[in-house]
Amino acid sequence: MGSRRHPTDWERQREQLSAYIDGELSAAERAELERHIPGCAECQAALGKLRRVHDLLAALPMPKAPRSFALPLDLRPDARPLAAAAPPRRPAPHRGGATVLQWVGAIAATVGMFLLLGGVVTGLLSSNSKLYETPSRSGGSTLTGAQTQTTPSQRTPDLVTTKSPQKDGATATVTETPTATNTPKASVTNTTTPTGTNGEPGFPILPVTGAGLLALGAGLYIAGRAGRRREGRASDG
Amino acid sequence: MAHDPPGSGSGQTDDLELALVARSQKGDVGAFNMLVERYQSLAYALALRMLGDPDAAADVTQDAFFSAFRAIQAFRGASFRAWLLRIVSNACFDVFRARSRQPTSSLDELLDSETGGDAAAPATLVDSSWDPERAVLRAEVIVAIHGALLQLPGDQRLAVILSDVQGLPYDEIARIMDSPLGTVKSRIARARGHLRTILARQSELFSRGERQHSSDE
Repeated sequence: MGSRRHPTDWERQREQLSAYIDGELSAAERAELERHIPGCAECQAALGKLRRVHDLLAALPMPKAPRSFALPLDLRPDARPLAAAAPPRRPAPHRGGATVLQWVGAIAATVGMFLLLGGVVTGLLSSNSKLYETPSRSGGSTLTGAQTQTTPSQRTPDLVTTKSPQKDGATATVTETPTATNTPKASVTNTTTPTGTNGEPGFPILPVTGAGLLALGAGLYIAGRAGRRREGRASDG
Repeated sequence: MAHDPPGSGSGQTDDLELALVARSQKGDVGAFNMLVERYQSLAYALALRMLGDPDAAADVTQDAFFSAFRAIQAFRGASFRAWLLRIVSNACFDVFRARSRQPTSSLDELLDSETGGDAAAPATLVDSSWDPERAVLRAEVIVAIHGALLQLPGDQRLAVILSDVQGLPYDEIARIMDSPLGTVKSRIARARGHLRTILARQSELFSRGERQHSSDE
């Protein structure tokens, strides 16, 4: 096409014709082209095809926005986009295992959870046994499970052994348990459970629960921080 | 139809826009939302033509406005419209990269988005004075054009959409694409040539359209 008339620069000629359609030629270029076109069938044909495509595209209806894209009025200029706003461009998630910090956090949180549960469950059992035992200490055959753990203060060594596997908190328990053997049964259940007051012999609910809570909180915090740092690194990269 | 983009014809930011931009730069989201309202259809239309996917186009548009608001402090240019459309087009290229391929689209879905999914919609795409046969043809041609656009390389697609669909002048397209004027001119010409080739290959729709078009002339 146009190989004779425009042997070396047909591409450029087409650019000129295309820009001519858009009125983007200089006055001199336009004048030159307008002198050339009437005598050149190839340029006339090419111009017609280019114009046809231009007209088809220009006739496309303008789609309306499907919804308002207004931003929330409380948005701050340094805010990150809403999660829903940017799904297509999320960087690929960083692959690989969790960081050491995340592991530490997770372990600490797990230990904390066990301690916390241990403390709470023990507390509940104590309070249950108290509630049911107080009216009729002789009865309550259905509550044997609870009773075996709380009422017989002589059995606290059993209690210690059952709780001691729960990691570090056990060290405190071991040191305190011997005193429990000397205390009256009633005082153990009455004082420890409802108020959680300290210094009472038996399973140290308050310290264990507290330690558990602390470990859980610290673990979640560490894991969360580590996770956020990884996310930040991934999105920066 | 598509040649009446908001903003002034030259793309220069007018006084109202300058005031809105200045307020936006001070963190006034309400002022920025007036700019959003002014340009959201244009931004969405560009994203839709580029991506061929209404949902992705909406996501990109929303994301672009967030990006624009965060970066508005850096706006010093003469044309807010060009600056915004550059953000939109960059976001579209980000989607291309994320997809790791040139986008394909459901033309049916695209047509639905154009017509609102109305089965009788083809007639609404054109002037009511057109006869039904021609109205149906128009709808089919629209689908064919979209399909052809999506086969173009991204830079040619962007250039020809900005030029022919959105009716922007070359100098503004050059600003949006951050390219020399000569490059823009070349991309538009090559895009038109490619489109012509692609459309000519597709059934006889294009030739029928051409025949009808030439009979109109």
